[in-house]
Order: sequence, then C-alpha cells, then structure tokens
Amino acid sequence: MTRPMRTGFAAILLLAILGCAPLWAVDADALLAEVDQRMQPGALEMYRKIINVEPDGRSREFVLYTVRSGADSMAAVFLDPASERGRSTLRLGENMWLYIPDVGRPIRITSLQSVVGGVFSNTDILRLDFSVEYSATLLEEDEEQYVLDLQARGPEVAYDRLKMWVDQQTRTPAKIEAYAATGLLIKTLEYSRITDFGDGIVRPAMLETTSPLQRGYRSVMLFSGIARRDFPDEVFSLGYLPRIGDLRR
Amino acid sequence: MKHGRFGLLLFLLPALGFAEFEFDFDVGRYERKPYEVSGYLQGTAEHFLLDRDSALYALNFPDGQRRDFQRYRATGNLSGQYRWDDTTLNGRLQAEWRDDVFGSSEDVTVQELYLNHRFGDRLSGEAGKRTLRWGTGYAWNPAAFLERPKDPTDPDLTREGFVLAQGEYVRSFDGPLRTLMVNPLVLPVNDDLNEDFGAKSALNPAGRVYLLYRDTDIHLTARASGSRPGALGIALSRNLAPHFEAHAELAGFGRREVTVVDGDGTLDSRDARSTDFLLGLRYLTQWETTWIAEYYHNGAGYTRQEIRNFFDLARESGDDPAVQRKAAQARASGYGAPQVMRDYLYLRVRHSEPWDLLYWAVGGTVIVNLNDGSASLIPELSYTGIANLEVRGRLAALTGGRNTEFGERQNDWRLELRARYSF
Repeated sequence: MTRPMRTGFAAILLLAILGCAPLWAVDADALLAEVDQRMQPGALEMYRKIINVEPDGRSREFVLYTVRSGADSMAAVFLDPASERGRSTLRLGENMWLYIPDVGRPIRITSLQSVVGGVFSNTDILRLDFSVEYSATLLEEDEEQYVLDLQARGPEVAYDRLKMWVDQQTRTPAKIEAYAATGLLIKTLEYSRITDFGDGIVRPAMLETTSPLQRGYRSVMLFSGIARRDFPDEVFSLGYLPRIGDLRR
Repeated sequence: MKHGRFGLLLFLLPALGFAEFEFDFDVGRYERKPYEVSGYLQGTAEHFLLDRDSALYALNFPDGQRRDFQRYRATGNLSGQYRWDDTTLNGRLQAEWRDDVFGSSEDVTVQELYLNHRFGDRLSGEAGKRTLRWGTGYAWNPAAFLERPKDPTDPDLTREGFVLAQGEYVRSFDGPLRTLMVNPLVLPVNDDLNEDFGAKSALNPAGRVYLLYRDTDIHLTARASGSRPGALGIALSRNLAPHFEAHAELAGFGRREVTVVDGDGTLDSRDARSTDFLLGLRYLTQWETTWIAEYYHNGAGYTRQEIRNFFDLARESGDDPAVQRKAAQARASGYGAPQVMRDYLYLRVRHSEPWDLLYWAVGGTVIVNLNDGSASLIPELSYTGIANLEVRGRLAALTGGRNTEFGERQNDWRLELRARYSF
C-alpha cells in the first residue's frame, strides 16, 4: 500500500469513527435500563384499565390491580367486569399462571395467550423489564428520539425482536413494534399522556395497541394509581394468588 | 376559511374517534372494601334422547316407556368475603332448583365457609369447609386426595369442599428453587362431620409440598391411612415453550376394597392397591386455538368383565325390583362414578372468534375409553357478546357398542343450553 493510499484510508476510517460518534455516545443497554426504571420503577402497585375496541365498534373493559417486585415478579387481579372478578395472574420470570376462583387452582398459561382477548397478550399485561428480556442496539438518533433495536435474550421470550422509539426528553418509549422470529410484524404499541404520578414517577398513562394480525381490533391500556410499594417475596407465589386483591389499600 | 374548517376537522378526527369511549379512569371505586360479594345466576335446559336398549336405561326406566325427557335447572351461586385486620371470612353458597322426569327438587349447599388468618408474610392458617384443588391435570387429578370427584365433561364447575384445618408456610428464594410451600392439614371424619369422605372415623392427616424448581411446578401430596387408604402422589407442570405446556401426575394408593359385581350378579369386593397416572399437554396455536390432551390410567378401575357383569345386572333390573335395588347399590358403591374403567384419553379443543365471528367460540371435548373403544363427543358453541352474560350450547353424543361404558349409558345424546349471568 503506497503512502498516499494509507493516508487516505486513515482519513476515511477517522471520518467513519467521527461520523459514528453520536451513536457510540449512547450505551443502548444503559438507555433501555433507564427506560425500564422510568416505566416501572422498582417495586410498585398500580391500577390498569384495558379497553378492547372490537371491529363492530363495541368495547369491553377490564380493570386490574397489579403489584410488582424485583426484575421478574409480577401479579395482577381482575376487579372488573363481574364475569372476570377475582381472576388472578402471576408471572415469575417466564412462568405464568392463571387462577380462576371457580376452578380454584392456578393453571399454567402461555405468554402468547391473552386472558382478556383483544390485542394485548399475557406478556403485555404482565410485562417484565425490557432489559431483562432484550439486549439493545441503537439504530438511529435525532433531536427528539432514539430508535433502539431490541433482540430477545432467549427463545422463551414472546416477541423475538422489538423496535423501540424512545423520547429523548422523558426517556420513555413512544412507540414499539413487535416482530416474530420470521420478521413478521405482530403488533404496534403506542404510548401517550405523559403523567406525573408523584414520588418521581413520570411516565405515559396510556398505551394503545393494534395488530395487522387482528385487523379492526384496537386495545387501550390506561394506567392510574402507580405508587412505589415494597412487597414480601412470598406475595409472588401460587398460594398467595387468591389473595392478591387483599393488598389494595 | 373553508380550508381552515376542513383542516380543523382533520385535526379533530382522531379525537372524535376516541370520544365515543370512556378513557378516564377513576380508581377510587376499586379501593379495598371490608367485604366483597359476587356470584352468578344460571339457567340450564337439557333434552335427553334415551337409548332404550342400554343397560342404564333399564335401570332408570324399568317400565321401558319413555323415549326422551327434559330437565330444567336454575342455579344461584353466591360468593362472599369479609376482611378484618389479618383475618378473612370466606363463603360460597349454591342453591339449585331442578325439575325433570324424576321429579322436582331444591338443594342449598354451603360449598365453602372458612376463616383464614395470616400470622405474617409466610405463615397462615385456615379452618372450616374448604374446597382443595391439588394436582396439575385438567380433566382428572389422581394426586388430589381430598376432593370430590371432578366431572371431566365440565372440569371448571365449582365443587363442594370438606371441613378441614390447614396451615400454609411459604418461602421464596433466589436461585433454582424459587418457591417452597408446605400445607399440612387434618380432615376429621366422624358421625357428624365429613361423613361422606369415608365410613371410618379418623383425623385423616394429609399434606402437600409445592416447589417451583427450575421453572417446573412440583407438587408432592400425601394422605395418611384413615377413613380412606393412605396415598402418595406427585404432580408436575412445565412450559416447554411459550405456547406449549406439559403436565403429569402419579399417585400410589394403599390397599382398598373395590365393590364389584360377580358373574352371578352378586355384589362382592376385591382388594386393590393401585397406581394411577396422568400425562397431559396444553398447546396454543398461532391462530388462538387451545388444545388440551390427557391420558389417564385408573389403576383400580373395573375390568371389561366387571363392567359387563354390572350392565347385565342393570339390564335385568326392569323385571325384578330386588335386582334393581342391587344394581342401584352397585352404582352407588362405585359403578356410578364418571370414569370407572382403566384407560382414558381426553381431548379438548377451543377456538375463539371462528371466521371472525365476534364474541363466539367453538370447541369440543372427546373422552375415549381406551379399554372398550366407546366415547363421549361434546361439540359446543358459546357467545359472550352481552356484558357479564355467557350463553353456551352443547351436544353430548355417546357412542359405543353393547357392554361398553358409554354405549350402555341411558341416553344416546343430550342437548344442553345454558345461560350464566355474573354479578
């Protein structure tokens, strides 16, 4: 290689490095962990209303009380409608159970199933921290948002890949596209209504999802009463499932 | 100006789309109250087309005249809970009115009524009438030693409990063992208490240990010898993939007497020391169809000859009231249980919103007696388009030849329409 060629190659390499510098400046996994911290800051309780809007325009509502602890423990109980009242779900890592009062026994359910119908799957309703299930790469960045590519850490994760748009200012997700391993778009989730819930929790209060696989359906999740609260680990066990509702204040 | 209005309309359109729905959320009404009441009202109409050649028809209709009949049932189920401090009073009451060719009857049952007290995060105790649900199987639970029999054609139905006292210790860990739960209990039987659990008075200690170990549910169950023979069991369940669950149960029972009908029509008993097991799976397809399949081995079940002897006795009962009493006694002593032979296959399929039909679900259940090839086929259709109301239609058809379990049942088929309103 002649000297001018070497100089030219070095210059191109330097430019490439400088050009990529803004991308390198952001640690994608650290950013994802920050998103998790803002969306579900540690141990907490919250109320959620899920509204399934059917293709014929009718809607169906579900209200859940949810408790969470650690990175992978979550439980929720249905408070409405009457036909679902008392049904409880528990997630410990990739394990999920459903307790139906009439049946009286927790049964294992799968993450891709939906206990409420509509577009939200069980994994959306009992969502763990993104950083527990995915590793992140920064795809793009502009003045308003980052775009992250999230790859599932294992085959047991419900969605193989996520593309996440993160608002630069609030460090919360604005939009997520969920893909199957085949590259098929399974659903799109859009967050809105940034709300101050108090105690330093500022995050979206509304999540809307649509799916090309369920055309005409739309599901909305509203968040309320999000508050930091510690729970003993024993709350997240099968024996406690019938009593999750007793934790309400 | 025109463009301005059009632009404003375009801007407002998405909001107008949302405006039809209530997107406000007042959590105040969902805060914990000291008491909660819920339940359902249910009406069921059934039409039975009878199999006049079957053995159980001869037993139930000795005059041999009836071709079909209807049954109507009205059921109310009320659950309540009252909490104070760390104590909770729980109850479930079921009232049923029933009318069919055999007459009208009313029945009020306290299915559950028990006190639960928490002594801390890890320890609790309860006493009273309680329905336990052990095991991991869907249609059958051989490792569930303290329950009334489950109806495999409708496994989710509520069932009556027994009076018992039990403790619960639960502990969570980091590492491969995530959860440990221990439930020791006693189920006393005497002339006034739990007399339908067994004839012999005893304290009946029993217990369960539950482990969540390496993402597998492990239930170890035990019942000391008392009103019923001693038993040991294990039940397992695990998700092998996000859409695929597998489960199994294995139970060993101490010596017990099984009532059998001899070749000459007399009631006798034989000793059985059986091992029962169940293998099952639950699979969800990407098109939202759920499949549940189970194989069940009932170790102490009747042989083909033993069931044939019973059917012969039942068939003769139309001619002789004494024989009819004997056949009825045999039925009450074991032959009348839901699945009494040795090997069964269960398959249930359920698909929501078929052909994009909102609120509808189609499905079916098949129970096959692998020993004689007879089967029960139950296609069903349900609709949940009205808030808190579920309407379900089922057709239960029985197939099988002479001296087979399902072939000798009293009806050829049964059409059922059920409406349940939850509150």
